[in-house]
Amino acid sequence: MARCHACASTLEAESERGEGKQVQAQRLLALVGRPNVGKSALFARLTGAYATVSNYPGTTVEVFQGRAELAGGRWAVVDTPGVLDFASPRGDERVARDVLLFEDVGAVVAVADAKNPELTLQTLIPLAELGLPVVVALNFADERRARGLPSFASRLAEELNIPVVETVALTGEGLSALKAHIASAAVPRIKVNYGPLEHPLQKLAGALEAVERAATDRVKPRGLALLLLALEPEDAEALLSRLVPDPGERAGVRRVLQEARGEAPRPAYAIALARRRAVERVLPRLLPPAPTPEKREPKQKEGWAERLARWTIHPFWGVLVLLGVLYGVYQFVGVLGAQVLVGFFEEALFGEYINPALTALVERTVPWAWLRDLFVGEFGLITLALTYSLALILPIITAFFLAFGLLEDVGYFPRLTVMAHRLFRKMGLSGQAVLPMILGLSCDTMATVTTRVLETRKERVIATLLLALGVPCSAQLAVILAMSAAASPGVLVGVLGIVGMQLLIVGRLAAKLLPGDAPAFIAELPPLRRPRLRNVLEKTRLRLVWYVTEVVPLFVLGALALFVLDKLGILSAFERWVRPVVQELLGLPPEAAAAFILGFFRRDYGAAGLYHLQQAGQLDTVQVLVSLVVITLFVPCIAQTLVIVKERGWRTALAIVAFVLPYAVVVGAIVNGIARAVQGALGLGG
Amino acid sequence: MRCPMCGSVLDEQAQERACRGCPLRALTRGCRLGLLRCPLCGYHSLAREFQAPSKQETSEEATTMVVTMSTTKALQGKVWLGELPPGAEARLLGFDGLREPDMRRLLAYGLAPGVQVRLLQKSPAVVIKAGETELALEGELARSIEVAPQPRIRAKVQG
Repeated sequence: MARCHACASTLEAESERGEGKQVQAQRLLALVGRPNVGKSALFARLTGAYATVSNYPGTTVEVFQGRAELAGGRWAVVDTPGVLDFASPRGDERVARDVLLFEDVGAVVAVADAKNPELTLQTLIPLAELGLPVVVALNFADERRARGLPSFASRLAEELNIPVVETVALTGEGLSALKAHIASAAVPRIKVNYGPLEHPLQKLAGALEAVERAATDRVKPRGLALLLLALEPEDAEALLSRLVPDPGERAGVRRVLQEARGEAPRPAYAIALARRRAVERVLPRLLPPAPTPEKREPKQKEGWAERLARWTIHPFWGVLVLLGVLYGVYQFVGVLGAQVLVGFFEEALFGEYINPALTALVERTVPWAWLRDLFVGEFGLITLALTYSLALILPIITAFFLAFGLLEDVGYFPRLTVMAHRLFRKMGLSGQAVLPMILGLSCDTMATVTTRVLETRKERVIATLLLALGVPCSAQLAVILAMSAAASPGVLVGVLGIVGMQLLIVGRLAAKLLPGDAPAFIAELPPLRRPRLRNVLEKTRLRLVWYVTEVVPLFVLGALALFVLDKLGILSAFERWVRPVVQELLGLPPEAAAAFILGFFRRDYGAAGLYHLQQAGQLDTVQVLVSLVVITLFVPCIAQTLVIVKERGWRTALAIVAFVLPYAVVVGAIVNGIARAVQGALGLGG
Repeated sequence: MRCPMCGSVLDEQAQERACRGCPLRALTRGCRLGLLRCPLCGYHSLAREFQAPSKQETSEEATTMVVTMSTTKALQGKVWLGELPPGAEARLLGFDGLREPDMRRLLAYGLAPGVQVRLLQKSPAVVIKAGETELALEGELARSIEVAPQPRIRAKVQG
């Protein structure tokens, strides 16, 4: 499965390579739709490949690509990010827009929620205006039937003159029909009258028609003109410079666009409103007259899922559900994963069999001491890298991925945003930022990429900063759970409380310092769904594959770097240099310094190093608390730093790292001081 | 209902607004003391003192009332989504007071003037259902969306 960030280049390269030798050109099929309508699941069904299927918006920031045998031969299939509005300033929606405009799309599968005919039409209108051939997949058809609502598929097909198929992506229902209809994709027959906007619109479309456009001959000028009008001026300019390569012609179009803007105030709103009116005009022809509310009432009895869904966002029960979920994850990851599984892997499997056997093997076969150290020494590839990554982290992270995948599959996260948005407001973030931050609990690097779904620069910077500062990633969180389960549950409460407080303080300050304000919180709440075990297992498997192939090598690299630093004497010099900080200020054993250095490579290795120290009995409860707070607040891992540089630029990245490093130490020192004082007052002793 | 002091016929919504700002209401979510307050003259007393008007009166004077309400600036006859009680149904009228990005986003989620919604809850976020779609909105946003409450709840209150 090929992924691509910049999308255009990779997609073209891929399809050209395929085309070269084939007689029949491979065509591109794009899956387009609103967030959360099951595009990714449908994509998986069509291609056999797997994009993370989740019950929350914002999963697919990258474009997933696969291949499929459909009617009319082989197709390249792309799964685009969910789109609410093609003229949105958000990064993920721009990606979907770019695929439709600049890729040679042969057909579009418009995926829509069968429960919602209004939004289905709303999805189709921009596609019709761009002149793209469409097949409609009305997904979640089973849920519509379960609600006792009549099907509108055939009327929609008739009304808009396009193929419409009812599907259930999770079971595969309707899939063969969908495949069969791809070849007969057609441009939807729906026309929107934009009223007072029509005149400037036609002028702009005329101007676009007259100029030479790059790679967009298939796309109708009217659709392009609407996009340019609805976009924010700077986004419109960016699109224009891609659309019209010749600077002279571009200047002409720009002038017409500016005139059009002058004629029509708030064009984006006017366009959206006109489309809505068109939807309302078509809607009665799709549905039989609505039954009166009295008749509908008995059918809409609340099932267990609805009732549970209501509880998850209740001001009181919602908090209890949240605490229950946290406790469940703690038990599953911290106790089962970290104690039972790690006990087996590390102590039994690696401690008694693998490591002694490999050590013996190395000692017998390798004559040079330094080379032996490379494999089985203090920072050896086997004794450090493989033991940490496979025996320590792997079982913990597996448990975490299972728990995370389950919550994702049930659809709990959007509901969590409802509970959390006020807290986020205090940090200068809108509710939209809740999802990237939760994703951060899985992987901060990935989460930093998803901050581009946020609408304002201010929000993106704050979210990036907070992710770098104090959102522990899955492996790190897992180690925190493991260490606190071994020390005392109070440590977990302490770490989360202290780190949470820092997020609040720093977010608050950043919100004050940075100009602008956060957009209001609006979120769709998809229904809670029964989790599919296969789905959860498959997701866990994919994430574990990612961990083993991308993370474990980094671990090895980290150990190698430590080994080299150790042999060159730099490590001990550095340890001597930071010892006063680590020992005096933080009250930790000097060995902890090595763990923090490891933390530069990946945060979780640092945490794993601490875990190791704790297991060796070198950390008391206060030291566990202090070290966990420091490693959580500590600098982001290399991968995350690189992504910050890529997404936010050098200066912001540098500022973030320069702030986070001393801040972590200062907070750690304060926590140490207070905890020691409290301990002394209680007369507990070391 | 009719005010025993000034004799004006009260609209449920107007009466709701008159009670806003009462410190007791914030604590108990709705008046637990069973008091009502006339939005025009400010008289407040036990609910039973506000007697029901006769049928003819209702149709005629209620209309007059609504006109008075919308023209009296102090009372601003507008009703906002965020002020309806949970369970209420309403038709969206407009969101002209919002910033354009927020307006666009509401439209993108299918919330447009004319759409019928049901208010499910108000805390920790306002949750509404439009068709089969459930949306969570920030309270402040919901308080800037103008609505026309649907007769269903009025009938319930009066009956």
